[in-house]
Amino acid sequence: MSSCSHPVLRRLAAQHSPAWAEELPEPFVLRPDSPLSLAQLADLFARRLSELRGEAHYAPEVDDAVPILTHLVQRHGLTRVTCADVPWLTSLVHRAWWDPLTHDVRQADGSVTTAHVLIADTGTVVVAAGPMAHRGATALPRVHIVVAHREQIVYSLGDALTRIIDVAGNDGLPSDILFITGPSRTSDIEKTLVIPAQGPAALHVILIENG
Amino acid sequence: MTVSLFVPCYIDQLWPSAAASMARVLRRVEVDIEYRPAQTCCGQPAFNAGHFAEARDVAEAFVHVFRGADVIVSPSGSCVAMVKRRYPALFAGHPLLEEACAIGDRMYELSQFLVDVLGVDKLGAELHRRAVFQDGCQSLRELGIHDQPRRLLRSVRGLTVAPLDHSGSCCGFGGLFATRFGALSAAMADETIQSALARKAECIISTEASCLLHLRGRIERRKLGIETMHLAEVLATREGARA
Amino acid sequence: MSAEPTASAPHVPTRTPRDPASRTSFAQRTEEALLDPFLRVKLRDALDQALAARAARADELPQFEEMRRRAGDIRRHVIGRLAEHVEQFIETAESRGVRVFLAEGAASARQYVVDLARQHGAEHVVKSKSMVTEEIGLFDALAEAGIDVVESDLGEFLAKLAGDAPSHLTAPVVHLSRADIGHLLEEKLGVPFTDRPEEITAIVRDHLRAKFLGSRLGITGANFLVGETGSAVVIENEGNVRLTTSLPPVHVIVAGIERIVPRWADLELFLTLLAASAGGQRLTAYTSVFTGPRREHETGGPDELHIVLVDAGRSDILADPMLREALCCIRCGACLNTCPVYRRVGGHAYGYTYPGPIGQLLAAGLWDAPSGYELAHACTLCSACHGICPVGIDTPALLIQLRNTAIEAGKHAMLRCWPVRLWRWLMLHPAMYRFAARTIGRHGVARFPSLAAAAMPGWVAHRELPAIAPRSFGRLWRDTRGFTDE
Repeated sequence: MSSCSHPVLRRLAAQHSPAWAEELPEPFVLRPDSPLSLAQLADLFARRLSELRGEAHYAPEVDDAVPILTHLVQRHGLTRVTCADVPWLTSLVHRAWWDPLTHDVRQADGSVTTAHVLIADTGTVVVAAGPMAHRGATALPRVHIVVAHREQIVYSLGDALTRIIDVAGNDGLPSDILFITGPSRTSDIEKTLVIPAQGPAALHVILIENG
Repeated sequence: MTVSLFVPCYIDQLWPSAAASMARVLRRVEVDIEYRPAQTCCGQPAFNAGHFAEARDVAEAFVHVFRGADVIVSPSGSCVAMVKRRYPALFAGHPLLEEACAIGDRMYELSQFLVDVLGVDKLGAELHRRAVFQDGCQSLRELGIHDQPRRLLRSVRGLTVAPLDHSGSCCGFGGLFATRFGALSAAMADETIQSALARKAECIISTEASCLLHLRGRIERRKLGIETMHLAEVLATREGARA
Repeated sequence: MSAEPTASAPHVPTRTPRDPASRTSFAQRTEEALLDPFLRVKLRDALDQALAARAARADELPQFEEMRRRAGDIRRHVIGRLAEHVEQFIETAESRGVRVFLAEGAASARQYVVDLARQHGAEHVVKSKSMVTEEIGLFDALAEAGIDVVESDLGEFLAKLAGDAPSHLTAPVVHLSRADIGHLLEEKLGVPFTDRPEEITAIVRDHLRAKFLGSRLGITGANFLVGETGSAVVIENEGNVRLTTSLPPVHVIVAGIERIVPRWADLELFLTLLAASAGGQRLTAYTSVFTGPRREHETGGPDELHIVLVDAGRSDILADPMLREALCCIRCGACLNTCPVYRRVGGHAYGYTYPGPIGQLLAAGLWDAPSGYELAHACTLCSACHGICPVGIDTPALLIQLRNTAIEAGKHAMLRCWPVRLWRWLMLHPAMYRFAARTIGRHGVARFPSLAAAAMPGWVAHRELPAIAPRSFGRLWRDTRGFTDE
């Protein structure tokens, strides 16, 4: 788009106002009072997630995630589970659940994904688009299970944004980055909180401590 | 230091006892007071309605009247807010700009003056009433006046001030708003009155005579039995004099 | 005092007139709103909840005030150099494969989306909540083009079903009770009546699922556009934005040109502040950051991403050195929640897409109609909005400015002129003012009370007139020698 040609841009350019902040102020960074250990970050994350009616589950080793997955699938009565196409994750899910996996996200009633990064301060799971999972895997099925490692937890939204851009670079951002903060909800009806609204009713995060 | 009294036109004519009480209170704490009779208005009604030219002319006269005054005290927080917060913009590019800003620096609402400048919070007042206090919007939000009147009222013997739900919520006067959107303005007054009655208040107290006039007009129309008193009138009562 | 009404009366839909030459005025519409006793109760409870949540979250953030100041400064910087930021955004977004259309007016914005839908054979379209699409009348334009549009946000869906416009920026059906909604679904969807929020939500969820699966075009708004990366950020709680953007092969975002934040890192501040100010959340349930259409190796997501940047009068607001501050707004809705006027009459009384204090500013700027100026007067200048605004927009000061603009433009000057001139003359001639107060004021009112009442109809319709005191303060001062005679 040529900047000189568009009438809107010409009109906007005529209204420059140097009186308002010559220098662009620095971004504001939210920091914790003191740095938190990984264990403290995990605790904070779990607490925030539970405040949002999500659930955190601890797995000391990768293999310990298997019985948790089995339990969750049974508890929610899931029959059509879709899983992100990540080898270590699919092998876990195959061990946890004997039925074949669903590949159509539209039909699935449960989905298992990895995460890009987790945010302790807000209880947020960040999932980025990629070849591994259909974009709809985080929203269409009724139950969403995330398997992540404790090292993936950072303190703040700002820390997560930094990690994302460091990994991707300005040019390499995926088409979709989703920050999930609890299962889906609405308060549109007389300000009464209802979970779920249109997305998942349940959000589970399995945190692997080692490995 | 001599305190020059600013009594806006509507208090001069419609509620002079608020200003008279202010004068008596200031005398009680042994402050020298003067009253410059050429004063009329700070220009706020015209300014708020968007008539900047007329407002500026009247504001200019205000600056002339109070030239050389040490300190100006008014029973109206909204007028003080006008001078302190709006005069700089109103006088932009005007030869009197500096003087107009300087006057704002020396101007106070009564409770502000008593508590923040004189450090006084006991006046020997006595009034046996159950009351609520309604904040004036400009006093509260433009001047930060909240604790000062409450402190002063706490020292009034016999007076109970119950907390008012949404005491900072506008009573609905808003100058010309009251006549332009009369039904809405009255409905907003009714909310304030209802909150006061819910607290079993016999009296609504405020630093703003304009709010009180509006509430009083509504109270009288609805024939409700709740009084309105200006803060200065409450403070001017005397211990021992039953009222 | 009669008891507060708690039961719900049948809801009568209020179609917000988008026609600027609307027949009713704000004053008339407020009087209608005041006749509805249930509206007050519904509004008060809902808005108080949002305010309490915001206050609790603000307490949690020790740097909240500093965050507001920084946000205000960053937004002012962007608005002060909007052309640069818009150009940067267009450049980066296009380099990521986004098709950007810069729409001068509402008509061209609507046409772009309609053409896009036709091009892709999209007979069924899903959209998520976007105030700017309301502003430009996109829904009706698509419907007129024979395209079936579904509003997928629960509140917006219900509003459309009821034939209403949304009445709040972030809570579209705050004016409806659960019983209202239950009856609505019973009537329009033929489901058995229920007023339980969970059941209502489940009904709408099921109804909308099929729509998402069947659409070839998804339309959303955007809360922020990131200049540095060309990303569009969309926040929500329900998940309908996710559904709107995961399945259809084409996604179009409609956003005002002023939505820009300069840097990726700025998202921390703005997302935190917006979630806090709107409803006291740390973050909304879903924050989507869209950068370009689906990449080759990604599964799901649109093959084409279009962004329609809408001017539609914003550049005119920008041209006004004072009013441009209104473009800093991040649409959190807090000013509505705290405005004593909005709280009393609700959003439909404003008769404009954007209600509340921010709406009063935008109406005068974007909607060049007499009603725009009337809205500028519909404010008591209490400044509650200024006190709560996360970017510090001084709405009362701007409304006074708008009142002045209307006067200078001579639109409302003639009839109103003489009282102000008279007032000015009296204020500049203290002796005359005192004489007039004594004679016409005190004696005149005493002898001709009905004339006095006739002079102030707006006041006396609802209130008794105050009496002029027998002795003015000036007189008292003289008589008591400055209160020394007592």
